[in-house]
Amino acid sequence: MVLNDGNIYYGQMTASISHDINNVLAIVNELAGLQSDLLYALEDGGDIDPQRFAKAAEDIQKQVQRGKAIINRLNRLAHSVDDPISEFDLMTVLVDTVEIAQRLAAIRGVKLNCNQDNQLTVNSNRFIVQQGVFACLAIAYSSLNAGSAVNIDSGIYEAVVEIRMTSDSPGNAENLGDRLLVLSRMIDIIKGKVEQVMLGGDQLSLVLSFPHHITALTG
Amino acid sequence: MKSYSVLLVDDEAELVYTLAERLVFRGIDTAAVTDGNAVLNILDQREYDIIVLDVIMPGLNGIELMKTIKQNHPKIQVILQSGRGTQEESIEGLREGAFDYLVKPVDIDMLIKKMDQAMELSNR
Repeated sequence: MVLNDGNIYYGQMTASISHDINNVLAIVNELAGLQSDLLYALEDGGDIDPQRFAKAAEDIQKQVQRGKAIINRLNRLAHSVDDPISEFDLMTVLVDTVEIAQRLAAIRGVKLNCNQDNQLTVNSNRFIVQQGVFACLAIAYSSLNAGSAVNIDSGIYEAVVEIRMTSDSPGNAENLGDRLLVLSRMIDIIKGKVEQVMLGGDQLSLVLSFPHHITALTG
Repeated sequence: MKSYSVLLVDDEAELVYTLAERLVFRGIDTAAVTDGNAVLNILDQREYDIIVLDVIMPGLNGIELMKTIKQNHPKIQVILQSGRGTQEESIEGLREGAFDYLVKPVDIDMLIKKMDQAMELSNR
């Protein structure tokens, strides 16, 4: 059950990444195509703008850098299953997860804002932490109306890591109890828990917490 | 020089404007927009023969937008394109009235061939 739940989110994350890679390839395809068009025009005696050719080359370089960043995220996600417990930078995991979820949230018109102030090294299961964060974000963005935002903050309190995801407007999460139960089962393996915290104005606030340092997985 | 006009709709600005530039290069009357919500207003001001519409855009379902376009402008042919490329999405798009469904990256010659075919169908 735990693996199946994790796999669902893993599938959504890799689908989002493949979509991002596809967009990069589509842009490179058009820019390279434009360069070919310009060269054919030149061969035909046409008057082309060298600046346009150079700009297309520069834009291809930018897309290569964008693609490299996406593939690095995919690579870190793929290697998150390498070790049951490892030391990792929580902010890298948070930023990666927010970047991956951003496209899916944007489809619903929801923006994700990650506060990147806190650098924190954690000893836990990186795969489960990332799936847990993604699951919370998925619950949050799918319960909000277009134009809303989710703010993501993290901190450590008495050796427990807390990741707080709070909407800026009222949320209406369908089957929230069931979804949190499924998520709870998944993060129990790292002795973690997830809670819905009530805020004024019906804002949705989910708090994912887990020990800063574990030496073994549960179960 | 083609006799039809095309509106490209995609939230990836660099993609949609470069593709528009290449189509104009080939003598096709082309405009591009990155905000799917603006499409209906644009169509109130000017009719296009073909709309090439991205299925997944921020805050907008391309297939729902296509249904509204087809209701208000039944003569417009819509070609969907998507980076997702699932069979379900393709079937839904075609069932709801798209002329075709293309998976990104789209070859420009293939796109023009599809647009020519869409216009042949319109002119029958």
